[in-house]
Amino acid sequence: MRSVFLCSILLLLVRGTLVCADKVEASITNVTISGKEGRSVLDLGFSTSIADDDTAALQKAQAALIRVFDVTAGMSMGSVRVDSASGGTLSLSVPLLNEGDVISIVILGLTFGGKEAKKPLNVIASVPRAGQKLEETQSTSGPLSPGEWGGAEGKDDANVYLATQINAAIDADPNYSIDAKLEIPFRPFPIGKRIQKSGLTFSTEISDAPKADPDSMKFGTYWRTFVWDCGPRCGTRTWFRRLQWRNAFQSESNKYFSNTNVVWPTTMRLISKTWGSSTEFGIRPYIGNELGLNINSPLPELENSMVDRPLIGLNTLLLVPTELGVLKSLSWETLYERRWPLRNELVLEENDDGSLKSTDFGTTPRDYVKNSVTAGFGPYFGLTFSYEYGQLPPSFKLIDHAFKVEITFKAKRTAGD
Amino acid sequence: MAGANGAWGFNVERGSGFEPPISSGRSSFRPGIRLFLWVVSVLECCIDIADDILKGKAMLTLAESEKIVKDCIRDATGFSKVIRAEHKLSEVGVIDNDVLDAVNEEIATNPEKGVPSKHHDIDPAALPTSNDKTVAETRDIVHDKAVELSKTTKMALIRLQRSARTAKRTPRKRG
Repeated sequence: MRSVFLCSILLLLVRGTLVCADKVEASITNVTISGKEGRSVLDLGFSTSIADDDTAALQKAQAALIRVFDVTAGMSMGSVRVDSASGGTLSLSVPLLNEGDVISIVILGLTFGGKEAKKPLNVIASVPRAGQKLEETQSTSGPLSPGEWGGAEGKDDANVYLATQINAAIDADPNYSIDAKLEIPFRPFPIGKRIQKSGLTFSTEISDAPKADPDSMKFGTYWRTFVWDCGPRCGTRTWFRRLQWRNAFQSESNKYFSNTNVVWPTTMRLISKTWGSSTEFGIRPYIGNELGLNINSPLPELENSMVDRPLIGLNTLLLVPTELGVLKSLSWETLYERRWPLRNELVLEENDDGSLKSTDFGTTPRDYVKNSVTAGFGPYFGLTFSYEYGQLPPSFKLIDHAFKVEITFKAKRTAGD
Repeated sequence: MAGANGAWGFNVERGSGFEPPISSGRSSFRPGIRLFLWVVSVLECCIDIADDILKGKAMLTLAESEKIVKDCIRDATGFSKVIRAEHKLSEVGVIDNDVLDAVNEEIATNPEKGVPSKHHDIDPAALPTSNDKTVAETRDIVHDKAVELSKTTKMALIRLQRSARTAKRTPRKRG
């Protein structure tokens, strides 16, 4: 008897799960009430599209059971008319409501792509008074939560980024290293039709592994803007859609500040279209220059000398959406850069006692390549597997085929009021 | 407002009480008319602003906001498949910060498809800073944060759009 009872409960649970699996997460996220031609217009926004096609969306909305109650007056609004429906929006009209009245909207039987909503669709709102700002009528389930911290996609995207790594390079023991970034963005502002983004930034990549140490520390200000776009008539097939101009004024040094440059890196980056719909891919070729001054060098002859390095590079990004248990996203990023120092620059290496020794001197082109695969576990944490080879300024220490496993934390401040 | 200015100008030229006698010489009176018209313009502008404050500015509809967001995503990313409200921005081609910046710029400044196309304005700082947001969330941001342009700015924008269209239609001279 007990087993039959347990089986029935199990069956109900399984059935419940299956029934829920046929439903979608949908809610009313926004409601605006306005008056038009002697009626009140209720503009509703959903978190999910009703249908891909506007006509189908309208038919679905007309087939649904929609009730509007005037809570203040204690009555149901008789004639509810569906005026339009498109994407995730629905426009209704009811007989003119009194200013300041509280209304309740209940929608039953509305399907989203053929599936019903998991939770009942209802919202309570108040009719704005004349002169009252309409924002005050928003539903409490609105999505805006300005000025909060959230997860970020990657290092470039994050305001706070910290990666702890375990390195294993050729002919070297595993070592620990730190890759950190802190960015304080200023309020973006438009000049003409271009939005200007700027802020303060600090980043460091250091390691105690002699052959896997980028030994790079940078802090300063950045400013970036678009300078060209292909325009609204370029179609979806145009490969390169925008040109971005990135500038910074920063100090670049090694971890002991014994080799320090003050530089103005400037690059022009082409932003490609995004290929693919589920798996997405984009490329960012760029060209630029790093112009500056050495203010501190282990070789006194190089102090106060100019630094000038034209550079080219290519950045690619592949995003694979995954929903495998805790694994939320998978991305593959590659970066290739080549710098041509026009003035003599040192290539440094660290001795066992921590002192620096020069291994090369001159204007030989310096390459740098990085390949990384990141598995995202939720918005904040991820695991990155990366391969690095090459030399980075200012010390141009050789990163000798370094394979890294990084546990990353990345956070981003969302827009505030 | 241009219409109102035009009406004042029309009355003045027809000699409705403001035109000076011909013998007194027009050149001496013209600056006065200009000053008067300028004062009228300033007053009308102030009335517009007061009107906006008292009535409350009109908002974009949710359907308009969603169309703006979808059009701007397509423009910035070249994404050609169906964009649904529940899609995250990262699922519709906004794969990194660069593309997100491009989408935000389109929304805030594109005079043909962005918020200015509906004679509204939006603070770029209010727009999404993460591609983890959904299209519906972005739509709600645009809907809530876009404010109607004042009549003066609206007229200036319409004039600008008209002149841009005329310039496009006019063929360039060769040689």
